[in-house]
Amino acid sequence: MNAVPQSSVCAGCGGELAPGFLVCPVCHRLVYGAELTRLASVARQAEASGDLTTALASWRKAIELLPPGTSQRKTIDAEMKRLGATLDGRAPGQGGAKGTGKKTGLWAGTGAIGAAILANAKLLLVGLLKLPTVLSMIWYATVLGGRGRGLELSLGIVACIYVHEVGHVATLRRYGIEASAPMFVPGLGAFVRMKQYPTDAHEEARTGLAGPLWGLFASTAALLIGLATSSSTALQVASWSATINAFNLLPVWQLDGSRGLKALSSQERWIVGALAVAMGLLTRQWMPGIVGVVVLGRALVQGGHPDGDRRMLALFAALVVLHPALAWLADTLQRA
Amino acid sequence: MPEPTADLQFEHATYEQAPQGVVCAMCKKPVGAEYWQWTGRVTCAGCVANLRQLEAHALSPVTFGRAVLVGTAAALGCGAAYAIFVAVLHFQFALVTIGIAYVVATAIRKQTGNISGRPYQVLAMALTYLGGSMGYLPYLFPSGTTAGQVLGALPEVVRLMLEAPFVAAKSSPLGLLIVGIGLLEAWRRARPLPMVFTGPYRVPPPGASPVP
Repeated sequence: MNAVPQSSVCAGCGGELAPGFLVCPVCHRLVYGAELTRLASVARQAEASGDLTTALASWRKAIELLPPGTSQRKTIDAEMKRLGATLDGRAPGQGGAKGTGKKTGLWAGTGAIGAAILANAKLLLVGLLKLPTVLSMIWYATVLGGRGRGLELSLGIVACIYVHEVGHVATLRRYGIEASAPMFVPGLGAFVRMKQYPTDAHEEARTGLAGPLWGLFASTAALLIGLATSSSTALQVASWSATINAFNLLPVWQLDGSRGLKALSSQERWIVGALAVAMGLLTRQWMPGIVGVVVLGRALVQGGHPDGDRRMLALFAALVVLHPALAWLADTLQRA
Repeated sequence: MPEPTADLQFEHATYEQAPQGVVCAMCKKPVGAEYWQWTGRVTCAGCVANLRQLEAHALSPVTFGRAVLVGTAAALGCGAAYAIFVAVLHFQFALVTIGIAYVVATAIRKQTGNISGRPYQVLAMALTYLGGSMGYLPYLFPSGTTAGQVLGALPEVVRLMLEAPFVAAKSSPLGLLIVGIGLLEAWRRARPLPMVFTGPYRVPPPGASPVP
């Protein structure tokens, strides 16, 4: 046995506390009571001043210091869900997830996140100041370039993947979720490691689909550059980026599509699946077809979220249509 | 309905069903005068001893040998099904690798009583790669190849099959990316249970005076 003598003594009952315990198993005194009180105070003050992100971040830190099964944890969890819903405009009276006819749907969903992109554009620079991120990007580009794809194309693809990852970081930050800077792994793509987790399926869907949404802007930018400069490399970048983003919409494993699908009702999943299959047939690409088949399969086997999420339906539907369309357009322009 | 956060106190944890005394998280029995810590939970000495026995059994050469056999059977079975799928539909579907990872890692993990360990993670990845590579077998032979011809060139066939995902990546890197995801999934699903116990820690007798 790994006998570790390091332990502390409970101030309440004098019992020995194992390292890492959040509560005394004997008298149930909370080990981090003072810190919890401070975090709760910070959260309440932040909410009073309208800073919901800071409030959420404080409650997230607080919940990590509470053992599972406690009523305090349950209360804070409910509070975080309420704050998250308010932040997204999903709270009662704000035009709910089911949609009330007020500013929901495709334009509201993409418009709100589009505004967030502009507000968070500075984040694009933040990752570039992190040495591990930059080194992993260089490594990735070198490996890709070394396989005969050319430096320009490699750098373009890396830039598009980077924008995709920053999309996740921006949304995670908005919810007060701590996350690492993007890291690139040759052969696997890139990832952002979450240090905390979204509170519910709606938050998770928004953090998941933010990557392909930001990726859509990056692919569009590459396409426009290609059109403006008649650069076939830029068009290739646009095609690659759109295909990689479409791949990320696959609802398997920990890919973005899997997170996005969690918030959708069964009916909404059928809509997204049917759209993706239709795009696969229209553009003669296998990627949207596979996304559609897997989405339909999951709708058939698992059903869906009981409430659904109209905004995420609009966003997911837009992404399964626009990414393949963009890839098809870029490929067609290259051939022309 | 949870209480409003304004009413929250952080002095003591409150539970809907408060445990009576200090009980083991595993067997739900009172721990007595001392307890151990395992994965952040209160554990009694009896359960710690049981877990150590399970760990020793999981890491024995016999269990590993059985995991190799069962895992290989699972990988070959999945790989053969995948190869038939590719041969019939003429369509390479690298996503199948994630499914193979799930089946292979789960089969291996079960042999260890869900304890697993680093060697089992490596085994799960290797066998997942083997199963996934079998999807390239139909491309290695022209139609009409006999079983005898295949068996005659078996070492060469295996070498080409294992190289195939990398060769195919030159034209379609996404396939290799998905294979990579499958390998990661195998590693993740075969992740060992942390077997670190700390303790023992003293439980004060009932009625003991609290620390001032």
